[in-house]
Amino acid sequence: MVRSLLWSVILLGLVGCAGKGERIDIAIPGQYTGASVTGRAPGTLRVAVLPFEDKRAHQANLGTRSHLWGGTSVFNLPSGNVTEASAQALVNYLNRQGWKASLARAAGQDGEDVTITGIIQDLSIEATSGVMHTDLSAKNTLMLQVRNHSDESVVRERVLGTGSDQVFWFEPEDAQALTTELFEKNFQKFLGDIRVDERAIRLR
Amino acid sequence: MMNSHIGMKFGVILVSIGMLMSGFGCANKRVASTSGDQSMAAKQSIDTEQVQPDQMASADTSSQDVSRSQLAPSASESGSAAMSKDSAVLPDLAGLGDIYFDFDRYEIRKDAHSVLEGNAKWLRNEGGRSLMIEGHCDERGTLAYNLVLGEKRAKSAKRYLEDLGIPGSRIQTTSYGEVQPFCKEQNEGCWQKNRRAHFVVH
Repeated sequence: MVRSLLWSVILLGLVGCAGKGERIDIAIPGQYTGASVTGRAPGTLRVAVLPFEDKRAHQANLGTRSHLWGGTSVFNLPSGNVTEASAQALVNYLNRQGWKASLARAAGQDGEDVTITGIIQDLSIEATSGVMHTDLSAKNTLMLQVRNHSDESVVRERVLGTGSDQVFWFEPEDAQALTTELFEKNFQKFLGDIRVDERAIRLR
Repeated sequence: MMNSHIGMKFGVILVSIGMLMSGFGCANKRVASTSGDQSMAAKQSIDTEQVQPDQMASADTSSQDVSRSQLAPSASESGSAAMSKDSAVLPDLAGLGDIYFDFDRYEIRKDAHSVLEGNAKWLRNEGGRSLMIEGHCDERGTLAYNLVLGEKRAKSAKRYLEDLGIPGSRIQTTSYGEVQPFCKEQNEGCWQKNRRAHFVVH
């Protein structure tokens, strides 16, 4: 009985370390966990967010997991549409902070005050398994551009996020949490760097 | 009897593995974000100067003052958005006290007057000593913006000391922007401690 249990644990360990070549789904937008409405909400300012442009050097997937005994799995979105998913992540974050934001197809369609576009310059997650641990590292670099329709002025900012984690037993949720947290930190930084001036967004 | 003894040992091993797993899971996570190229342009002039904050992010932090004052306002003094304006700031080991600023401002506050007068008095008594004033900011705003704001804070403090009769040649200024926070939490009480001018004796 004890011996069979022991073998089960060892087998489970080996399965966890072996490369399976599977796709590990990463949901974007993820479920934000940080505090909401940290600053003053911008009142009635209406924000449209267009799908971002994907300018990543490697667009096939979000990254790879290298298994201890060889082989890799890939991280990717179930939909594969990273441009819309990233824009939706910003919309969700803004709304969580009390803004009035929505995903749009084109600028100026619904009489919004500002339109935000974005370029994904880097969005990746890598996991490397070793003996009794897996190291995760993630990057997220976004160039965000705000167009104020009241005076057609433009505000641009690049936000760069990096994250790392080490876990004993890798679960897809670890990669998911790191990715979501990076988006959240980047958007948090962006909101911290701008201010609302009547019907427009300016840099602080 | 033998079987139950082995079972107990196995249980202990499993519990240990579980504890190890949970320990690894929460010890090493690091996530950070910073902002880079930034610009604000009117309609006719989209091509504006691009700020290169990487240079500023690498501001020299090796000269950190080991006798840095630990006498920043306490969280209880500044729990609300507006910190008490008459908070007492005691001098540090060198006899010099830090002064604090309102959000996004570099004007000398009234509660800083007595601190600066005390600092000026100390400098007058220490005729041969020169001073470095470091300007610091909270984390809100870009690296570039905060570097400039920190410089303005340091220069405001310098001007005030000059008005009190301290020769400008004895005072140097520098800015660390947001890269040397005194306090690392994300709340107003903590940010208030970081919006400061710190005085270092040469």
